[in-house]
Amino acid sequence: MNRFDGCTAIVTGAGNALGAACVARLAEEGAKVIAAASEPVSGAVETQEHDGTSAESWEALVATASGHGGVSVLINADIGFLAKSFLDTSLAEVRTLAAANVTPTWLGMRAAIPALRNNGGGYIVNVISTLGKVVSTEAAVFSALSGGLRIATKSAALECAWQEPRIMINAVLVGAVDMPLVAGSKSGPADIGIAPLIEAEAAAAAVAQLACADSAYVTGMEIYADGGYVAAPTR
Amino acid sequence: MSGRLEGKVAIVTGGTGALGRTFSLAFAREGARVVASGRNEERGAETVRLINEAGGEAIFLPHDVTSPDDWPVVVDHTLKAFGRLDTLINNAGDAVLKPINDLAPDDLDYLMRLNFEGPFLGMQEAIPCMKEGGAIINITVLTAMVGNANSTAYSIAKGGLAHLTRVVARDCAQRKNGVRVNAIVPGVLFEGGVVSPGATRVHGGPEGGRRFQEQIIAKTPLGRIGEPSDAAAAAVYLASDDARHVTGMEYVVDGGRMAGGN
Repeated sequence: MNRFDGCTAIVTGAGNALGAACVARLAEEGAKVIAAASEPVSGAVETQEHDGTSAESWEALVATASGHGGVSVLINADIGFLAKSFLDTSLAEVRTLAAANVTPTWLGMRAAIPALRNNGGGYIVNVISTLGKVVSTEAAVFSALSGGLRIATKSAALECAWQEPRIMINAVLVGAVDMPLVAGSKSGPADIGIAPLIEAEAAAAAVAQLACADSAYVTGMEIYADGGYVAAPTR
Repeated sequence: MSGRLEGKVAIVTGGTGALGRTFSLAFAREGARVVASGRNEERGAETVRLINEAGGEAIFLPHDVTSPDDWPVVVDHTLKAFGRLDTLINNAGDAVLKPINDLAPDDLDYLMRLNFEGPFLGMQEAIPCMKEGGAIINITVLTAMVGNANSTAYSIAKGGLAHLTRVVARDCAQRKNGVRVNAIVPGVLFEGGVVSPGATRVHGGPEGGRRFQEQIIAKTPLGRIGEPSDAAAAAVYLASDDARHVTGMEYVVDGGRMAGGN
């Protein structure tokens, strides 16, 4: 059973471990994947340079995907991590974090929803840090923005759920996984020991679960691919 | 990619009812060997027949999940028949929905025994027999996450089970025994959209059942009642190695109701 046969998917952050794993998994299960990255990504039918903070870039990305038979899946896997406490974080760093996490996901949903509707509905999965659920003081603003993204996922899910064609919008909350660092962060999620280390492939498996008909009755929900951190925070 | 549960062995309690049968069939389809347990031998045999017909392997075992004596027999028999145990789906359960003053102490006792003690006993018996990759899947309900009128006794049992799921998940993580413990939280799931016999009974007959169905559809963002297969897709994921980092989680399958706070 190939859960993504005949389906075209956009995966952002495909130049990073998380996004690349999502590309590989969806492609393995039959999807034509359009990868947003600066270098060609293994498994993708097409790779496109993309600035997630630019609405024009999003339009172009969605247009490319639509050219492959109509887009039905968007995976927002763009994440940027900064390990810094609340008082140490400057406003400029807040904006850098927002540009790395909030803007791409929001613009992505905004750009993809009309295209998905034109194509008879579909699935959006936002990859978010588990720190959006259990905060870390060591990554204070990153935690806060991840929390905002969680709720925005649910809000978008509700906006789309009530009307046909349906678009199911869910999130995967990942534990410590290899993710890009922004604003000169000296530590990654694994370095500050906030959550168990997990493989990008396992995060991608959760993403795949939420991006196909297995989740036709699931929206505004989140899978915690975090080694049980939400259920039992270790710190 | 088929066979996401190849080589695994699963016990599905209440493998005699609509949801348990759907779990059993989905697991067999993904390559698992299935023990469908329950009290109704005839319906259990039907589950086994449907699995065999589709080319899968399954047995039925008579099982009262509230009985401490039954559990060791069921687990032993499973190990003798199939040589291992990877997944336990604590699916057997029931509801009694009435205002608190209309509920009898016996109602609470019944709901606790079936919805809480059954899974408790099952996890105690099954987890020590499981190896790395083992998975417990408890079935709770939206009322385990948010309050609902007429659900006091039911939500004690199911809400307790939801929290027991987290506690045992943590216990297994601390023991590093490789067993993951999660819950599926279904909204209302009716096979083919037809009000289930259970819902008909709980809501005071066919008329009440239909009214309940309409109310649920009206407050479900995705605009429909779910199917047992929607929950089975979640169960296959949670039992598979795809979910190897997922434990202590509630997998909500409710058409979006919880996203807006039910």
